[in-house]
Amino acid sequence: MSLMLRDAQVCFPGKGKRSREHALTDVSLQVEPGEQLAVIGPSGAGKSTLLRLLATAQQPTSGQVQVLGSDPWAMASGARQKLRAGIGLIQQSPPLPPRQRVLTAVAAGRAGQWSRLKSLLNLLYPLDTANITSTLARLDMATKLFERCDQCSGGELQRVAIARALYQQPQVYLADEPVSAMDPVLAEHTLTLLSREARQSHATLLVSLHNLELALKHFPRVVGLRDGRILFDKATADVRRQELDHLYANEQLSSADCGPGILAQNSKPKTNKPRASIPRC
Amino acid sequence: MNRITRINRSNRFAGFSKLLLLASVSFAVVAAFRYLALDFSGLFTTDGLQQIKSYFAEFLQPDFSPTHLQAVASAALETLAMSATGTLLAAVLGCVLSLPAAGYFGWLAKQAARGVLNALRAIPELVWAALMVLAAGLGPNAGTLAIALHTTGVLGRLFAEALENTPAAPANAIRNAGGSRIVAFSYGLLPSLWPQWTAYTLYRWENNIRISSVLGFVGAGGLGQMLYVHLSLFQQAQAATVILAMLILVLLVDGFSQWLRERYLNP
Repeated sequence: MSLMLRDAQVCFPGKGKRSREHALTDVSLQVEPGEQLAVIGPSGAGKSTLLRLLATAQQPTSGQVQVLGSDPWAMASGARQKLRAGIGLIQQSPPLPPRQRVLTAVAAGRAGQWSRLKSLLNLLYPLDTANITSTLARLDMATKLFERCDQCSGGELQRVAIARALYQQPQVYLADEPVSAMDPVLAEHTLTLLSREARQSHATLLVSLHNLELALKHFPRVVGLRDGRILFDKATADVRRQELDHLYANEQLSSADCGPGILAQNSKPKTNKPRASIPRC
Repeated sequence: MNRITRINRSNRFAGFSKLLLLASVSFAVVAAFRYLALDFSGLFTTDGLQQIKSYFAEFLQPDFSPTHLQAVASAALETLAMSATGTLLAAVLGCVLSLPAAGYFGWLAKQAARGVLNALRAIPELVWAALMVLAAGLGPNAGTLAIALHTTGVLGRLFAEALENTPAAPANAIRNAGGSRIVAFSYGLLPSLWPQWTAYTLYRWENNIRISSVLGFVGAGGLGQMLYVHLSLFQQAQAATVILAMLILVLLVDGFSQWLRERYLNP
C-alpha cells in the first residue's frame, strides 16, 4: 500500500473558545503503488489539508495514516525524515525564498538524500547543474536557471516547485493544485509530464485539482471531496454528472450566475479553447 | 444635564489641566537650574567671549607636521581595526546567540540567551571599555573587546528578531522533503536572512567607528587615547589634527558601508 488513511480527522482550533473546525472528517482512502488519481472538490473542501496529511506535513487529530507502508507519527523523528525523502509535495503557491536562485531552489529537492555536508557545499558551489538543467528543460524553464525566485511569475514558480519534486525522485508525488497559475496549454503539458514521469519511475501520483476537465481527462480514478468528507471515490468512467453537480452545488451563489451551465460544458465535445470550468477561489 | 453643557464643562477642565501642566514644567526647569547652580551669565561677558575665541582659535591651526601625521595615521588605523574586528566578532557571536534567542532550542535556552543579550546590550561600550582596560590592560585589546561585547548584545537581538519575522514556510518545505534542520535553515531561511543580517552588521560598524574613537578616553587605544593625551597637555593644535582624522575616518566608513549596502544588499 502506498497511501492509506483510516477514519482520519483533522481539526483546527476555531474562532470561539473550545470550538474546533473540522477540516477533514472520517476520511478513509487507499492508494496502491503506482496508482494515479485526482482529488476534486469546491474551494475549502479540505483538499490541501488532505494532501498535507498524506505528506506528513500535518498530524491527524484522530485516525490512522500510513505512507509507504509505515505510520509516520509512530516513528522517531530521524526515521520520519528518511520516510519524507520519498514523498514529493508540490504546493499551490510554492514557499520559495524570494532571493533564492531557481537552480538552488530545485537542488533543495535532494535535501533528504544528500548528506548535510553535500547540501551545504552545494550552496557555495552548485554540484549538479547538468541534471537540474535537464529537469527544468522538460518544463521549458531551462533559461531561468539563474533567475531569482522573486523574478518568476506565479506559473513559473509552480514549475520550479514541480522541477524540485521531479529532481527529488520520490516514490509518492502529492501535488496540490500544481497548475492553477498556468495557462491551459501549459497546464495540459505539465500534467501530462507529471503523469508520465510518475509512471516511468513507478511512483504514485495524487493531484488535487479544481479544474474538473483536467481531472477527468488525465486521471483514471477520481475522489470527490466536500466539506471535509469523501463524497465519492471511483473510476473516472463511472462518475456521473449528477454526482459532480452535487459535489459543486452551492446554495450561496445564485444559479443564474454560474448554474448548471458550467458542468454541462464538460460533457460537451471540447471547444478549441479549454476553459477553466469551475470558478477559481 | 444636556450634552452641550457637558462638553463645555469638559473643555474648561481640559484648559485648566493644560495650564497646570505648563506651570509644573516651568517650575521643574527653574528648579533644575537652581539645583545645579547653572550660571550662563559668565559666557556672555566680554572677558568670557574673548577666552572662548582664543581657545578655539588654537584649534584652527592643526599640526600637519609629518611626524604628527604619521602618529595620527597609525592611531586611525588602530581605531579602524578595533571597530572592524570588534564588529566582526560581535556578528559571529550574535549569529550564534540569535538561534537560541529566537527559540530554536526550547524555552529555557531562549530565556537564557535573551538574558545574556540584554545584559550585554544594557552595559554601554564605554563602561565595557573601562572594565576591559582593567581586565585586558591598556590599548586596543580592551577597545576591541568592549565593542565586541556590547555589539553582540545589539546584533544578537536584531538577528533574533529578523529570524523570528522571516516566513518559516520555505524551511518547513525542506523539512517535509526529508532535509535536516541545518539544511532547512540554510536553504529556507538564510537566503532571506543574510541580506538583513549583513545590513545590520554594516550599520553597527558605522556606529562602532564613532564609538571606538571615543573609547580611547578610558585608555582603550586608537584616536581617542591620542586626543585625550593632547587635550590633557593643552596641545590644541595636535588635538585638532586628531579630530579632523576622526571626522574623515567616520565619513569614509559611512560612505564605504553605504556603497556596500547599495551594491549588494538591494532587495
